[in-house]
Amino acid sequence: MKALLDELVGSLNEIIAVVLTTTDGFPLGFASKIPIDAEREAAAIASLASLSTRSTDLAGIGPAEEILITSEIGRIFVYPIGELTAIGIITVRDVTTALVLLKVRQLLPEIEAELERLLGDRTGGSV
Amino acid sequence: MKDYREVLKSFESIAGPIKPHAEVLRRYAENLKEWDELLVKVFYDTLFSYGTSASIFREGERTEREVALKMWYRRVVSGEWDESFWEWQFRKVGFAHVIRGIPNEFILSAMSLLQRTFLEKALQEFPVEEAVRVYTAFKHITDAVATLMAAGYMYCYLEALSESTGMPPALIERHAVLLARRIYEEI
Ligand code: HEM
Repeated sequence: MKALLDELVGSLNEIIAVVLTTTDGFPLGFASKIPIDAEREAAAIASLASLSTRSTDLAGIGPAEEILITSEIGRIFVYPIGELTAIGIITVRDVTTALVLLKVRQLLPEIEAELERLLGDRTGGSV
Repeated sequence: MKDYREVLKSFESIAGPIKPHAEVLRRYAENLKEWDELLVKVFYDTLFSYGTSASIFREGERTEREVALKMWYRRVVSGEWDESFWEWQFRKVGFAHVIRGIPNEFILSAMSLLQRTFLEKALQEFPVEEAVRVYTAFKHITDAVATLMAAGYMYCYLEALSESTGMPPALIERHAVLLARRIYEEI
């Protein structure tokens, strides 16, 4: 898993870090160009995934596919992967959104295969 | 919401069974019911004399509160604790305090005051051995009620957070563990 996440971080200059987490907030892996507290970031990303799913459910607009947070100098993209995991991608602010999604999609089948190995076949669903 | 029976089961497994204490209180019930005036006065004199707890009460509410506490006390010392008694402690008595934003530390402190006042009165009224027996029974049942109230308070907050944010309980637990670990490691 580490190699895949390293590959994702390395695939775009604008990507700073990637954190893969269970929906319970346990980190399954991370890769980062800067020091981050992966444990707490994983729990925060899992919370964002839950919160967005709750909001979209309440709004009756189907499950959340992408969460985008823009801060003063960066962005965080969160993609729920099935019901058990989510991936968070931290980038600089000036990044092409579609490019991030493309990079995630390109690596997703391999991440899912790895997740299946780690968690069994309960991961289901895709970004 | 966690079933109160599970909380009671843990209480009895750790603190000891409740039933034998009911028998003790039943024997003394008529006598003990007469202490309601004294206990309720000490209880509310104290809560009304401390600014933070006093601010919780609405103007003119004291009489109503005293009537409710007297009724509660008389039922507790009756030793008649059926299913509806426990249901009342958990759902009504417990959650009435959550609705009014009264934190666990107030409830547990107030219960401690009630228990000590009861002990002092018991020592005045009974020979020491009998006083200890009656007090032990009263302490056991009121500890069980305090446990239910404290657990209900915590589970209500956890469930509210889980329900409103969609965060599964295990994720909330994870946040708590991470925070506790940081606080633990701070000193
Ligand atoms: C030993 C702990 C306590 C016991 C056994 C107790 C008992 C009770 C009972 C039996 C009721 C009526 C509940 C119902 O059936 O609706 C009640 C209500 C209330 N209690 Fe307590 N109480 C305790 C501690 C406290 C404390 C520490 C405060 C405030 C600092 C407090 C403030 C209130 C208030 C404001 C209500 C009214 C709730 C409403 O709006 O209906 N209680 N209490």
